[in-house]
Order: sequence, then structure tokens, then C-alpha cells
Amino acid sequence: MLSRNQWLAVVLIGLLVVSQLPGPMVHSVSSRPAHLLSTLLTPLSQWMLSAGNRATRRPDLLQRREPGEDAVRQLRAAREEIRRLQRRIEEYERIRHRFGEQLEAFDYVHAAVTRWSGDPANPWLEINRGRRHGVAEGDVVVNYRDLVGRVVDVGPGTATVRLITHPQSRLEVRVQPDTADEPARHHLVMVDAVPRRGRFEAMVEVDADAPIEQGDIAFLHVGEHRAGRGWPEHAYGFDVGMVTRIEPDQERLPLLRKRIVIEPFRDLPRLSNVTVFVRREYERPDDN
Amino acid sequence: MNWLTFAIATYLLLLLQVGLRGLFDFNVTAIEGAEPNLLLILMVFIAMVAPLHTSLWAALILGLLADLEQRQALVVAGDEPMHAVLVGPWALAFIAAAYVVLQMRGVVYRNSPLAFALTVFIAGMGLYLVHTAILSIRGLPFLPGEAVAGWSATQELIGAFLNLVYSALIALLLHLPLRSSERLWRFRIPTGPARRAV
Repeated sequence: MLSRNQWLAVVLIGLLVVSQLPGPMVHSVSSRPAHLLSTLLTPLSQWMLSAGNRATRRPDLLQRREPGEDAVRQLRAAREEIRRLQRRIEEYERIRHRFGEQLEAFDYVHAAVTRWSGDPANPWLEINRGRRHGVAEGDVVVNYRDLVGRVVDVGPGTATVRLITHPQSRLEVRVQPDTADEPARHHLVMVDAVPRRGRFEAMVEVDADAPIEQGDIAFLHVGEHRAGRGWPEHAYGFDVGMVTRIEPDQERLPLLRKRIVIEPFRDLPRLSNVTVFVRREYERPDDN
Repeated sequence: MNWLTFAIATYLLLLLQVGLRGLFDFNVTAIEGAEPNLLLILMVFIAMVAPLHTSLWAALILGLLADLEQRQALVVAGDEPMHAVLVGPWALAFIAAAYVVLQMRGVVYRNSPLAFALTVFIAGMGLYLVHTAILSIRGLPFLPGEAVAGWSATQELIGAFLNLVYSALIALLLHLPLRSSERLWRFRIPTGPARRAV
């Protein structure tokens, strides 16, 4: 029979070995207890996280842009907003027309965020919906019209969502003006996500004469070129963020290239609620 | 040690750590992403009083919980990294940190909040060093485990230092409630030469 010290040594060696095993192998064993722990924490952590997020969340970019007390500016902004929404409706109509059949194959599962990683270098959220609610790995997660991320791990009642702000995220976005005044300014730019200050910022390079301006909106690209990047078609068209900064590319070709920074409209790690695009049961591949 | 008290305290502190992440990370650029490690504080509290084996088993449980609470992005074949719950890095790190406390406790005046905070800081250094070392080893060519995506040991240690400062500050505040609850824990205070030296 082993002594207590020997038991401890066995445990230590076992842990050392397990910690170096391939991820899929370890995850297949640890996933179940991890989700059990999440389920135990969820009811209270969800409430606490929501309260904490309300206190510390930065204002949404759209709110930040709202004018103050000046009525004329308010009116102008309201008109601008109406035009923007009209344009957005047209955009969505187009998306719906294009992908309508696919969208009808989905249900929308509303979920509350129960915790987040707290690590800007590895941002993820956990939500209180899982396999029982139809959520599956790879499902697209949004918050209203903002793209949030994708489901990367699913338990019976919880799921982990990797945010688009993750350093490994690669998004293809289309940048266009926020208003309908300049419909001609459409540009396709490739975005590489880089985590900055706890939220998503994207640095891209565009031709110096490309008329991208501060305040332009970036959408997940809807176009003919849909190859790669791993996003399903029904995710295309959701907002990625707004152009908040444009600067010359000092490192390489400052005269020929610019770098733009795209920031999500919302403080993604501090969201309280999200929506998951869940494929309807009859559309799912046979998994019984 | 009363393991029911341990379970309740662990659940409460884990809940606070997870639930109050938004409040702890109060958007100050200098300490962005930093958060106090409440499980470390609990482990130090236990290891300062409880017998050796009890302390180590408690540290193991706390470490396993910390492992299960994390998701690591691993570099796997293909574009997208895989998010996996790795078991071991935190568990081993907590055991190492508990060992540090066990070595120190003979010369630490545990009634002092300052000494408690200092012990948390020192034990935390062991904790984060071991954790960083284990994750740094992952991905070496001759080992089967995949590397952690975007892993930088330097960045990790800088973050760990901020976490430690934060944890030590919170330990100052938690010292009194933890000390007041000692009766509930039913520790068998170890006696012996080291104890008499205090």
C-alpha cells in the first residue's frame, strides 16, 4: 500500500504528464467536469457579472456619438441615423434576399453571459445555453447586429464563445461609410485582429488614396469571395466595428499605405446577453 | 480541517473571482487584465495553519478548480486554434505555492495582515513561475502537447506580477474575515520546533 507521500508523488507525476498531453485528448476528459463547474457557478456568476459589467462597461460607440443639447445637431444626427438605418435595411434586405433560405434554417437562441476569461490575450465568454438548447460547436454568436464570436466548446447547459477580438481571429471585412451620402465609397480590406487594451482593434493596410474615413463601418464581408476565414455564410454582413483611427503606416510605406483601426461598437467582453444562430433540428447533420 | 467549510469557502471565492471579473478589472491601462487570485489567497490561508498533507491536498483541489475554470487556446492544425481545458498547470503550480508557504510559515507571524499579504505575494511568485514554466514547455518539439496560441512567457510574467500585487492588496482586506472564520475550519494547529520558534 502506498504511503501518503507516495500518493502525492504519483499525483504530481500524473499531473505533469497530463499537462503535456495533446489538447484534444485532455479536453475530452476535462470538458465534462469543466462544464459541471460552470453549471454550478452559473446562476450566481451570471447575476454578478451582469451587475459588474453594467458598472464598468465603456459606452457603446454609437452612444458616444450622440449629440448633446444642441437641438439642430440632434435633428441632423437623427436624419443621419434614419438615412443610415435605411441604408442598413437595404443592406439587410440584400443579405436576406441572398441568404434568405439559409437564415430560415436557423433558430435564434438568446443566452446570458455567465463569465468571461478576463484575459485580453485570450478573450472568451461563457453562456448559459448548451447542447440541450441546440447550441453546437462553430455556431455564430451575435449581439443585435454586432458580430461577437463563435462557439468553440459546448457542454450540456453551457458553451464557450471565442470572441472576434481573439488574437488568432482573422476577419475579412468590407468598410463603407456610415451614411447614405457617399454610396460610392465601398472598399474591401482584409483585417487582422490584434488585441489592444482589452478590446478588439484591427490594424489593416489600405492604399493611401482609398477614401476610408474615421466613422466608417466595417461589416463581415458579403461578396463573391467567401473562401477561407472559416465563417459560415449566414454570419456575413454583421457589424465588426467602426473605424476609429487612420494613420500612415510608419513602419513600412507611409506614403503609399495607411493603417486603420477598427473597434467593435460594444465592449465585447462585458456583454450581458448574446444571440446564438442555431441550426434547426431537422437541418442538423444526422448526429444520433 | 473541516472539508465542508473548505468546500463552501472555495465555492464562494471562486464565484467572486468569476463573477466580479468585470469589477476587478477596472479599466486602468496600467493594470489592464489584472485580477486578484482569490484561490491563491485561500490556499495561503490554509497552508499557513493546516498540517502538511492537508495543505497539499487542498492546494491540489484549488489548482484543479483553477484549471477547470480556464480555457487555453492551443495551436492545432488548421487556421483556428482549439480551446481546451488543460488539467495540470494550475494544479501543479498551486502545490508548488503551498510548498513555499509550508516552508515559510514557521517564520511568519500569521496574525499580521501585512505578513499574510507578503506570504501571498511570495507564494504567488512560485505559483505563476511554475504555471508559466509548464505552459512554456508545451509545444516543445519532442513533447506531444500543442503550444498555447500567442504564448509569451514574458508577457505572462508581467501580467502575473500585476495579479500578485492586486492579490496581495486584496489579501490585506481578506485577512480579517478569514482569521475570524478560523473556528469554523477546525484546524489542528501543528506543534513542534517550528511552531515554538514563532
